[in-house]
Amino acid sequence: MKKLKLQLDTILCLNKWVFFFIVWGFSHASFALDFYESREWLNLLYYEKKGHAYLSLAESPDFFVSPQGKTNPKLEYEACLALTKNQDPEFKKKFPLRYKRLTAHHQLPFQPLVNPRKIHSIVLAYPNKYMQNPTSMFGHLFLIMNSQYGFLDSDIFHYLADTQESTNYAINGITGKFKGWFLSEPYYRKIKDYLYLEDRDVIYYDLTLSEDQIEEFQLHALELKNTYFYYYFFDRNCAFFIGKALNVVLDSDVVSKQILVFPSAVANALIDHHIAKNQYKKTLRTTLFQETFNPLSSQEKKAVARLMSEKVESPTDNAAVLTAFLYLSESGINQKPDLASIIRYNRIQAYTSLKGTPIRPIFCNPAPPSFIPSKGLELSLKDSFSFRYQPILYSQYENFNTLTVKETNFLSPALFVTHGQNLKLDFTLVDMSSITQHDFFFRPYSWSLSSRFLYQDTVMTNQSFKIGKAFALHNKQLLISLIGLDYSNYDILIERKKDTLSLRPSLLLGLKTIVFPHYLNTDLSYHYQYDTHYVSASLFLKLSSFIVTTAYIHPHELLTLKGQYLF
Amino acid sequence: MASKNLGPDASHQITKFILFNYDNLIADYYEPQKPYLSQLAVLLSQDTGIPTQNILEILTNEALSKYPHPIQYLKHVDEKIETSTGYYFVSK
Repeated sequence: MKKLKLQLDTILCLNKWVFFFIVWGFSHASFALDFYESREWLNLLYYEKKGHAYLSLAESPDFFVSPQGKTNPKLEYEACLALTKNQDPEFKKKFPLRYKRLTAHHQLPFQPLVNPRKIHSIVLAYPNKYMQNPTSMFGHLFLIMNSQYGFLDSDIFHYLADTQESTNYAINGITGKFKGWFLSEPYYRKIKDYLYLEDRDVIYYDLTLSEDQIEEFQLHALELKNTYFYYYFFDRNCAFFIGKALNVVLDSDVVSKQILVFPSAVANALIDHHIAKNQYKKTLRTTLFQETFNPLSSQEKKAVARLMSEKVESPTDNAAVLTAFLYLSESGINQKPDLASIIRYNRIQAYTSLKGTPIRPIFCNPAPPSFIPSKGLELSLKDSFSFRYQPILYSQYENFNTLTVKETNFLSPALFVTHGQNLKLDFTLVDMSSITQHDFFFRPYSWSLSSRFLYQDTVMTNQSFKIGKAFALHNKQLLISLIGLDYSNYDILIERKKDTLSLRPSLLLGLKTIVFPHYLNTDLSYHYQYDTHYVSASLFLKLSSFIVTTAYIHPHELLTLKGQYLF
Repeated sequence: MASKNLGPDASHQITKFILFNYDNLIADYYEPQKPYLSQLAVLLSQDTGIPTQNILEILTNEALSKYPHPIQYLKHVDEKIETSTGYYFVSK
């Protein structure tokens, strides 16, 4: 009996040891293996979960050490770990962040071969939408590797699609036919495109990254030179990949796979995570030009035109004329190279006359970052009640006090409820306006485009395109004149069905007035469309993110009240 | 003392910077802020070892502000730097 008990005790004791070893072994094995499933590793190699499997968004085999690396994080991890243990020089140079992370995780000797240039900080730049180019319709996003000597000594880092040999940008952009690469280039080269060729609003945000995070980002930027990613216009674009690259060094993700990813959404996510702290920008050159040019007399305006087109020895024009010329001239040099030598000669004359007056836009003082609205909710009341959701909206009311109308509204559903009638369903495919003040030099066109589909007992549609010009009056008003065509059986002004679907000419003459900058605008318009004459008077009131509109349309004597919330 | 070329990489970088930013470099002569001239001084200082401030003093010479053509300006900056420091970046 005693012998049996001893045997049992021995077995139990052995079992305890076996159990201990199993637990110890398992815990250590799982600790080592878990790393390949960690957020850190998955982000580093751009893995996305597909069901129970993984697939990296990186397309080039050069980005992986294991032949199965694109689909197998574990095999890639094991292959990288083996090279890290061997202190493989090629691996250390090609994948310096993977090497750093693996040595840190496994407490291996860290003997780096790559020492990136010391930089002061990383700044996020968001050049706002540029309506003249469909690829820039929602803006861009890039990072500035800010050197101790400032932006002019810095490189930018961004993701770009190669669209050079394509004639069908829209289809290829939506279906992922373009390859995209991360690129570094001098800041001064890129910013010239934005500021002098396109005169785009660029918002800068200081990112609160530690020295270690900055260095890790630089190491990762070197790794990204080894691959390309397929570009998709709506979800895998410049903003998505910049966000993904930042995910690699941040404590939590700022971007994940979504149906729509726009630059403003990534900037907002960085603000939300308290990573973007200060926001600053320069006043647009166009704004400065308009502020100086619009109040000039016609004689003075002619003097500006003369300075843009013929050599003037020692100009005797007043400071306002010379200043307006200097604002216009830099864009002039870039957009009209045949006049460049004349303009450059006159610039030196103008600067000499102005004797040290600051002309170029300078950065405004840093301010706390503010969210960029990109969506809208609209409630409207006329003879019907309507509710509209605007999932992709870059509203004209963002810039309530400027003499331009720039609005982009995509894929917006709406519902109309009218007493005694069936529900009316509305879908706006696209609704865009780009109304820009005309000037004597660039002569820009203004245009608007709309495509709507509706259903109430029957299918209705409105397709319209208008083009024309807009003129500033005394820097307070914008006179808009557009002509175009409507293919329609639905009247969008009074929201009613027309009897026939047909192609008709249309005309718009409008007068937009800034009554109180930032708060109150009015609009008085004459419309000729659907073979009918309309006159409308509207009043727009902006209160923070709310815009209240009231409009009166003659001859239908229709009064509309509309509230819109931008978020 | 014989003049010394700054080497192909530095020369290329400086030439590119001047030609690309010519309009802003000229504007710097007349405006209170001089970010482009300062950056040009940084580029030249890195490759000559001469302090940035000394280079900036050479670059802000008023005579250089009068050249209305980028190539002319480039050549005169090169000459001025060579005369003052013994370094040049435009091939002879």
